[in-house]
Amino acid sequence: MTVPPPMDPPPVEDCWNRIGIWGDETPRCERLVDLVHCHNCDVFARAGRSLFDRPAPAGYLEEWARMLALEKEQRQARTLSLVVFRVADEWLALPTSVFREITDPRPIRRVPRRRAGGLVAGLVNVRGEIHPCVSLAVLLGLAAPQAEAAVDRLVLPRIAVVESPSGRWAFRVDEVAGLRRVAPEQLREVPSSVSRDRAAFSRALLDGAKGESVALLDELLLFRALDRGVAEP
Amino acid sequence: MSGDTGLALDLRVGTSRYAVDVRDVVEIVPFVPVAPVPRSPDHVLGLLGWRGEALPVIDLGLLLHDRRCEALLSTRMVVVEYVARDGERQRLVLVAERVTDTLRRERTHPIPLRDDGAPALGEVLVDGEEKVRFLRVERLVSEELRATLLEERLPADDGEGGTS
Repeated sequence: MTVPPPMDPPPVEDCWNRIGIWGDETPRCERLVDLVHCHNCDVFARAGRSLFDRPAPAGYLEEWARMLALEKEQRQARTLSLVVFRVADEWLALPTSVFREITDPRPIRRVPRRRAGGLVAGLVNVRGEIHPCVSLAVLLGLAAPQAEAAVDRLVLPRIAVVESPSGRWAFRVDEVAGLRRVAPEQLREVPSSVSRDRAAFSRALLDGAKGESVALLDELLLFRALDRGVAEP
Repeated sequence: MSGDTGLALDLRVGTSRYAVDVRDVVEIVPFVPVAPVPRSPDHVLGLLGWRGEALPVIDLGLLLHDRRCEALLSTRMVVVEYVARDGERQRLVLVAERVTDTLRRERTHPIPLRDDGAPALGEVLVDGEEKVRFLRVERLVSEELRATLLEERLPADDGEGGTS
């Protein structure tokens, strides 16, 4: 298993964050008068494209080659779009709509007077915005994984940013399996044998790509627990 | 196949721009390693194991400009489909740089084409100050070359090995 080091994006002049639609500096960008939004601007488009002018991360192309060699999966009737990810040894899912960003790992800064190993792992900077970074493993009571099992696929840890009614949360995931569309009949009820903490947040179970069980988390319960948990000292 | 949308895929080799009609494009994928085919022309990188098929891979850099496409994320493989002379649908993989954009025909101006003996190159459009040359995907690989490549064809599940 190889985990490539986080890649630094090439330096770009992020005018959109200063004088553009996401910035608050004055004077405003003159182009906005005509273009209305930075999305319509070729400076913004060029900067986005430049992100692709770098070598592929290690293992990325090999993973794609393997995927391409396989027959394409038949798509099913779709109703619910989920992001499937792994924390410790558990595969979990949340609705795609709550995700704002999934990005390369970056430093998590400890917060003073928070004990290590608590719910709040620290603060994390994603595109200049500071988000509280919480530990789903702590919230869901997941044990740290046994010795990392040898895997034949590329495993990339990520930082996910999700939007809750009270603001954005970041959390670290050990792996993102990707987007999944599931039909309601593919969801199963959570059996009572599942440990209490996890069951409390799980709305349903579904089968992962390799037959593993994926717990679909109830995002509202999760966000409420985060609000409560972070308010505690 | 759907009707003409006027949309074309923008490809580059260095600073030269080319285009392929989006109706010919099946899939765009990263520039993955391919299995080389012995005794094939330089611009044929090899065969790509693709969805259970083995497809010939053409490096447009080597074919048109005698230089390899750079190995960047923006360099991609474009799986194209065309109808061969015998009426059969054939698929082919093109490697080109800066495969990040599309262009619209109605925003460009066609300019008259003189026959310069390059059968794979078609219509020329002017986009702003740059010229864009359309590729005739059905002319990129001759029937003979295709036959040779297919003779050497590896089982599709070996197609992923290669020149990493």
